Order: sequence, then C-alpha cells, then structure tokens
Amino acid sequence: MSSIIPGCSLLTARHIPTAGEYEVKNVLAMKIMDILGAGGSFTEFYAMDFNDDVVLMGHDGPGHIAIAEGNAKMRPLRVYHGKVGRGLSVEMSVKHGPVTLLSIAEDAITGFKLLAAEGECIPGKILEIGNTNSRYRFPLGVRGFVNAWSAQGPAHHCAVGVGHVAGILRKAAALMGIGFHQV
Amino acid sequence: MSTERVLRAGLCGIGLEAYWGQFAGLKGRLDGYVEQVAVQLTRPGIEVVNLGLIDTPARSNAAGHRCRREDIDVLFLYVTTYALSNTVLPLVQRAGVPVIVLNLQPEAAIDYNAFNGLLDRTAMTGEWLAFCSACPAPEIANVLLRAKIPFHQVTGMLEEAESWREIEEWLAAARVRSALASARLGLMGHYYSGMLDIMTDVTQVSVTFGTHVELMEVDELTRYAPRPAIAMWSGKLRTFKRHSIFSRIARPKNCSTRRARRWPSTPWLRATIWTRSLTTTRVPAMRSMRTR
Repeated sequence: MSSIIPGCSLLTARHIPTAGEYEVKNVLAMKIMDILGAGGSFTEFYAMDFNDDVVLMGHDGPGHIAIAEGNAKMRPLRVYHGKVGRGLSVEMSVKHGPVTLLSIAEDAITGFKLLAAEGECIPGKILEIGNTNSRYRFPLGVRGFVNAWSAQGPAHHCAVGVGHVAGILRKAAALMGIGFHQV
Repeated sequence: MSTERVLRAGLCGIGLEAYWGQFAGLKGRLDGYVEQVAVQLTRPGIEVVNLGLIDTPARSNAAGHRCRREDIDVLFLYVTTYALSNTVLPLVQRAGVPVIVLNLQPEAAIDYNAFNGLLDRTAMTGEWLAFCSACPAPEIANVLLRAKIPFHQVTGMLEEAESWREIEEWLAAARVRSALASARLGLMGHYYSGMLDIMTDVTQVSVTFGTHVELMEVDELTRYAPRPAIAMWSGKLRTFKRHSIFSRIARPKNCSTRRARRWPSTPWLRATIWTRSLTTTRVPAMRSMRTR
C-alpha cells in the first residue's frame, strides 16, 4: 500500500473526509465543513510571513481537491516528512477568497468546543514541496491571529473551508450543546 | 467518514385559542402565515413536518407526540401572536430536539393611520394581535431556561432577507448536528507517537456528536478490498479524466527523467502514470520517457 494521499484526497472530494495521523477531531471538523458545502481541507501552520501579513498553512496529508485553486498537482516525494514511506503527494492551494478555519478542541465543561476563524486566502507564492499550501490573511494580522488561535488550545491541525461560515458553526455548536469560540 | 440523510424539520405556529372566537379572521390569517413559513422552509434535502397552529396545552401535547412519531431533527416554533407558555412546554419537552423560536412579525410596523381608521376597537385589537409575536418571546425563554432546554431565536419579519438568512443558518446548523449523528467514522492505524494534542477520547466523540466509530486494521482493509483488477484501474482513470482533478503529474524540478522513471513502483503509481498519458497533451514527452 502506497501513495495513500491521492486516494484519500479523492475520497475527501467525494464527501468522505479522510485524515492522516489518526486525527479524529480534525476529520470531524472536515466533515462539518463538508456538510456545509465549504470543503474542509486538513491543514496546519507552516510559517508566518510578516512581510505580507499572511500565515502559510498546509499539510502533507490529503487535500480537499474540490476546493483547490485551479487543478491540484500530484508530486512524487522521496520522503514524507516525519512519516515513513514515500510516494505521490498532492500539491494545491485552497481557492482564493473568503475562508473559515475550524478546529474541534477539548472543553472542560462541554467535552468539546468548536474553534473558528474567518479570513481570506490570498494569491501569491506558496511552497512547491508537494503539499497543500495556502496563504491566509486574518483581520487580527499574523501576530494577533496566531496568538489568539493558539491561546484557545486546539490541536495543531484544523480544517479549512471556503466561504465565511462561522455564523453557522456558532449555531451548530449551540444545537449540539458544546462550546464555541471565534478568533 | 460518510453519511447522508434528509433533514426533517418540524414547524408549528403557536397562538391562543381564546382569541379565535373574539377576533374574526385572526386564526385564518395566522394559519396562512404558518403555511407561508412551511413553504419557505421546504427545499431539496429538507422535509418539513407542518404541525399547524398549536393553541392549547392538549394540542401541544398531541403535537409533541407527533414530533416523535415523525422523527424530526429540529423544531421551528413560530410565534404568530401572544401564546401561553403552557402551550409550548409539553410540545418541546416531548419533541426532545433543538428548538428555534421564530419571532416574526408580518410587516415592519403596524400602519398606524389605517389601524386607527378602523374605528371598530375589536377589529383594531385583532389587527394588533397579528403583530404581537414579540410579546411571549421572553415568557417562552423563561420557561425553556427553567426546563434546561436551550433557547434559540430569530427575531425579525416574515418576508425579510435578514431573518431568512438567520433561519437558513439554523437549518444548516441542524443539518450538521443530524449528519454527524448518523455518520460513521472509521479509524485505522494508530496515533503519531508523541502527538499528545491529537489523542482523543473517542467515547466522548460518540457521546457528543452521536457519531458511530468503527476500528479496523490495515490488514482488514486489504481483505475487504482485494487486489484491484485492471477494470477497476481503468474505472479510476476515468474518474481522474472526468473530473480533471489532477492536471498533470508533476515531477520535482530537480528530479531527472531517469529517476522519474523509477518512482512509479506500485500499481497505484503506475496507474497515475497512465493517467498522465491519457489526460494530458504532453504524450510525446511521456512516450520518450517510457521508451528510453
């Protein structure tokens, strides 16, 4: 079994969100975004660009290729970083325009909470290393956003979807009786 | 993780039976408003169960039982005029699903001149009562909170874009709740050793979201999905071609042709190579790579 990433990307685009690293909370976040028709691509902080005031976010796992800007590309990788194996990986940026990040985090009172942020996916240079990778700008700026997001204590992964859907996520959390926080 | 299920939305108007005999035409008018909301809620993927205008505790009780028979996922409680909270409590307690209170007035304001020109004080009161949805909103909230039933509301107008944007969001939120509760999540493999943040109480996932969790091993998966036949590969290639998902299989810039020829070492990788030769116009380059 090899090159699971393209297969999982195809499944994710067919509304069967698939996450690596045994990411239970994040695959739920991806599912929520997918139910809303927003996509839901596995992502994490890659780097901060203080010059352009954007956060680079991506992952070497599957991408939600249905919300890619243009066509996704397949790249052969001789090593997956930090994981065993090698094979094909998916390189794509999320569609430029409004986006929402969603993470499911632990909550001391309600078990889980939804953590959301609305921002923009910005055109520009991304890292061509065969991963999903996008440039995101948030109203709080790089410093303010990363501080505020991390302070909520989510896991280091989240799901990114297209459009601004934090209002719906707030309501979904209310209907499920769990906490909600928007950065 | 997969699921798909139609969302079943219950709708009922609430009112006060005592008014119907006093104010001619009021009930018919409010029934019409409830029907209007039912029509507007209905769309593909959502089945609306219209319980009509509930105006007594007995009808509330019966409507609550019907909510359970109809297996609704969410209940919209449309306040059409003043209504007693004892016509609300039996219904929402029995329904046992999230309740969204719709406090929607028919228009932005009462037409004061036309209203005061009616002269007949009974007709005037009847007209006012059609605009009286806000009156019991705090009463309903009070009782639901005391019953420990979460209170959610939309305040606005019957034909107002902003109100309906809110209602659409509640529908989407209800769909999230319902879809997660009927979803099945498969877990295979194990955590990345050391990533403590990712490790999750899976029981709590089922408790909170209602999601069914199935654990399996990679070996089991390969048993369920035997080595694919050529026909399956060509089916997969057609999928690639149809969706044009992958524009090309790009080689790393520093990857020599010789090395590139080596990297497809498994059936899946070979399949993706075929994809390229089938779906791109760069076939000559591909051919030369193969024949070298």
